[in-house]
This record gives sequence, structure tokens and C-alpha cells, in this order.
Amino acid sequence: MVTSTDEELMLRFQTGDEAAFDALYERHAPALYRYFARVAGGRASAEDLLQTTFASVIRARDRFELGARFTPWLFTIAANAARDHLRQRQRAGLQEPLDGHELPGEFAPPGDPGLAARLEVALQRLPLAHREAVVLHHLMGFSFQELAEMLGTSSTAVRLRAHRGYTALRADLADLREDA
Amino acid sequence: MSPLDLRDADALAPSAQALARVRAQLAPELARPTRRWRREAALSTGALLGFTALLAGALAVGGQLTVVSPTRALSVALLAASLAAVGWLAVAPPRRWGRAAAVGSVAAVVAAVALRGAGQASASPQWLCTVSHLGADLLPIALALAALRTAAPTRARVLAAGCAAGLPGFILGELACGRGALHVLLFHLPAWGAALLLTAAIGPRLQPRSFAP
Repeated sequence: MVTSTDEELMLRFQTGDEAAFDALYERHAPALYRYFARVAGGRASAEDLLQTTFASVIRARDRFELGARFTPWLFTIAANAARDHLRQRQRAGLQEPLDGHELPGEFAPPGDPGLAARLEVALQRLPLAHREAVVLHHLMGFSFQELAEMLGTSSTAVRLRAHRGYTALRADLADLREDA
Repeated sequence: MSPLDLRDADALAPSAQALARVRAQLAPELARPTRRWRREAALSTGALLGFTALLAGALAVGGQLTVVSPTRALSVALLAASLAAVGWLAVAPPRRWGRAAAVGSVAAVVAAVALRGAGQASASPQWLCTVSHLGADLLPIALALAALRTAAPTRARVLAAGCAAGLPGFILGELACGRGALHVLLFHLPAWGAALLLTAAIGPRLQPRSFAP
């Protein structure tokens, strides 16, 4: 069986093939959910943002153009939605979860719950621009060039954000290294 | 596990129920008809150009279309072409030449100032041009903001929409005002800049219909 690429599926979806949309949803929803849980700080936000992102894909399906790559396009939408969500939270005076107690227990993988929770809390402490760069580069595997295009900035600026993010994480988690 | 090695941690994986719930909530979106961006761009650009033509027509009917010369016709043609380009780009997905078109719009405005020369004297107060310009730009600003709402307000689109918002008033000035370059620099250009800045300030704060670039 030949598997269609994301781009082929998206082009089919543009012509009204709902099954192609379902295939794209099944492929990308889990990764997007993880991205939102890390960047926007929690499962409730992740679910809302997942819906917002795919609703944007549906509304703007016509804006995806031949020759473009689907995953960076999808994550550009996701990053825009996450930024807007966090901006609205900030305006409403809601804080992002910074305390480990506010994070759900499932953040911790089996075997080392304390470490995983510390990592996630440290990520949440980073400024959004740095967190976004670290998560998209390190965890989602995008190159700095792709990130620059997705975030509408230069490759140098993205590298700098990621570098600052990594430096802050190392400083925040220095005691873990000493224990090891 | 290194401090940054979270890739294998599947603790954040969504439940099948959560994914199914979100997918079910998307069903009404799928049922809606698609809005084609090219159609929206054509409508938006057409509205901006049509409104400008309407203003020019009103000036002609009211006997206010006082300045007719080849250089002024060239300025108006440059500005109208620029309005068409930035009006389209305010809606279009990002293009490599998107920013170049916005720069072209600025160049058209600068050319219009340069082509003015010494100009003619006028009895009306100079600030009247600024006020008329801003008044004529109110609807274009609203149209530019509506264009921005169609998708995520990227910098290039905000810039294009801002440039477009101030051009109808600028064209109006080219058709109705006979004063020289210094007057345009001091009383027309600031109005164009104000329309640009206002659109750029409000546009990114509006909730877009889609977060797509």
C-alpha cells in the first residue's frame, strides 16, 4: 500500500476529501497536543489549542500552496495560536503554571517522576519566545532555518532564543547534574 | 536521561478520547463552505480601488479635480498600482516579494512627493489637506483591518495593509491639491503615515479568522 504524503493529503483535502483531513489529523494531532501541553502549560489548554489549530487548517485550507511543506505550515499555525492564547491569558491576569504542584501527575514518565516534573516546570519558567524555540527545535526536530520561516524572524534570532532557553534550563536544572 | 532529553517521554500523549472529542468538535467547521483567499483578496483590493475611484469621481463632479498634468497622472498611476499590489498582499499568504511590494508603495509615495515641484499657492489652510486625507482614509483603514483578519497578522501583511490604508487619501491629495513638495511632505505624508501606524497598531490585536500564515 502506498502511503500518501502530508502534502498530497492536504491537496486532496483542498478538493473536499474529508478522509484526507482525517488522515492528517490522525498523523499530527498527538504531536501537536504534546507541543501545546509544553508551550501553553497543560492539557486543558492543549485540547483547546488543538481544536483552534485544526479549525484554522480547515478555514484556511485554500492558503496552503503547491510546493509548500505541510508540517512547518501546521506548526506555524500552532505557534500563532499558542502565542495568541498566552497573550489572552496574560491580559486576563491568568498565570501559567509555574509550580510543580499545578502540573498534572502524568507529566512524569514511569521510573523518574520527580525529574520529568522538574524538567517540565523548568520549561514552563522560560519566556515564551525561548520556550517556543527550545520545544520546536529540540523536541519537534525543526531546523533553525525552518523555525525562522515559521516564526517570521531570522535564523540568527531563533538560534539566540534557543541558546538562551538552553542556558536558562541548564542553570535551572544545575543541581540535577551535580546529583548525577 | 539527560536534563533536556524529553523526546522519549510519552507522558504528554493525549488520550484517544481527547483526540476524538476535538475531532468531533471540528465537524461543523468542515461543513462550512471554503472561503477562497484569492476571491477575498480581489474583493478587498477592488473595494479599495473602487472607493478611490468614487472619491475621484466625487471630486470631478464637485469641480475640485483641479490638478491635471502628465506628472500628476504619473504619480496617480504609480500610487494606484501600488494600492492594487499592497491591497492584494494584505490578504495573500506570505510571498517572497511581499515586503518588496510594501517598499515599492513607499517608493511610489516618495516619487509622488518628488514629482510635485514648486506647486501653486492656495488660500485654504494647509491642515485642511491632512484632515481631508485622514477623513478619506477611514473606510480604507476599516477595509485593511478586515483584510488582516482573514489570517494571522504576519509582519509583511500588516505592513502591506497599513500602506494600503493610507493610499486612497494620498491619491485624493494628488488630484485635489496643487501645492508644492514641501506641503506634501509636511501635510500629506504624515496623514499617510498615521493611517499606516493606526492599521499596524490595531491589526495584530484583532482576533483573526484563522491562524494560518
